[in-house]
Amino acid sequence: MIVRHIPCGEKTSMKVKLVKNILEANDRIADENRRLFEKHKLFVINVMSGPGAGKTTLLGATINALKSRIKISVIEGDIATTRDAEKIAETGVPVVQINTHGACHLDANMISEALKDLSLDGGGLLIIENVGNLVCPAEFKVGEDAKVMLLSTTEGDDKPLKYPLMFSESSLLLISKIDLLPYTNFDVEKVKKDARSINPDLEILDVSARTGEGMDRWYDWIVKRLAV
Amino acid sequence: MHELSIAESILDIIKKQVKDRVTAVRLRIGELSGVVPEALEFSFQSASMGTLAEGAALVIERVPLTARCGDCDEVFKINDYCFACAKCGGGNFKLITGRELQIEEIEVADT
Repeated sequence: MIVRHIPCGEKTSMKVKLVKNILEANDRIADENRRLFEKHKLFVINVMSGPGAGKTTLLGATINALKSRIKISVIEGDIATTRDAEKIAETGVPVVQINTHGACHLDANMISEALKDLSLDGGGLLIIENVGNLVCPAEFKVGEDAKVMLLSTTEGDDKPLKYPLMFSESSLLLISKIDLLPYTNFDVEKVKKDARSINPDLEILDVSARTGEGMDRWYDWIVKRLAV
Repeated sequence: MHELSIAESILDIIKKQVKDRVTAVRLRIGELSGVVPEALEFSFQSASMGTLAEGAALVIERVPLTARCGDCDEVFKINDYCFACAKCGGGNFKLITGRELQIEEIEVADT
């Protein structure tokens, strides 16, 4: 609808009403990615957290535990360097590195481009490790089935209320580095209460990739969804 | 700093929608979106240089967080991220508003 708006006297202007989602271009590509994932029967998780929460370590352990049973591939997002991709490549699964060159998040188009370098046939699990950032990645859909976020015990228990968007958008919260809990004043119950107050449907698991504590439940979470 | 990506998305939409010089852009940004209005204004100013939208005012309306209680059906406003029903205190809810990232209106100079 176009509304002509003529203010008293001098200058005239025209208002173009449209009400459009600013990220519609991204969402459209995310939908295309999603259709591609469905066609290839891929279960796709978008793994997000602040820097240093232990995403790469957790994913390395996860891949080593599941790769004999499940076809796994990985897309690594980082602002720069290929360090995370190199670590993941040691597990022997296919990995594509995206360097965002400054952007603090992955968007649907970056994923669409990266998919060209992966063989999607045969289904299985596709892990997208997002750029380490507690805010921006939550804003951009990439076509994933589930958003999984990590919050480590060393980051502090005030994060859910400080960064509510990611907790609101995620399906699963992994409280990582749970083995370090005795050395911190991190209040696990407070985090769970705050996180569930933001997102009543949020599932939460305590894990340690280093000691293996709680990791079986995380693997079960993945395997159960792959079977559906 | 995903505000720069958002500013670029706004400029892409403007480019497709209008052919004249843009004087103002009205946005609706939900309280739960991770956008910092000042950062978006700054990004928009830089990204719009040399485009039809250079110098355009960015008018941002913040959309409050509201939800519907799953227990008593009350529609309530969420203040300070305190996600509990204002009527029954329940924590079972579905968000109604607060996730908006919308461009509502583009104002162009009439030539």
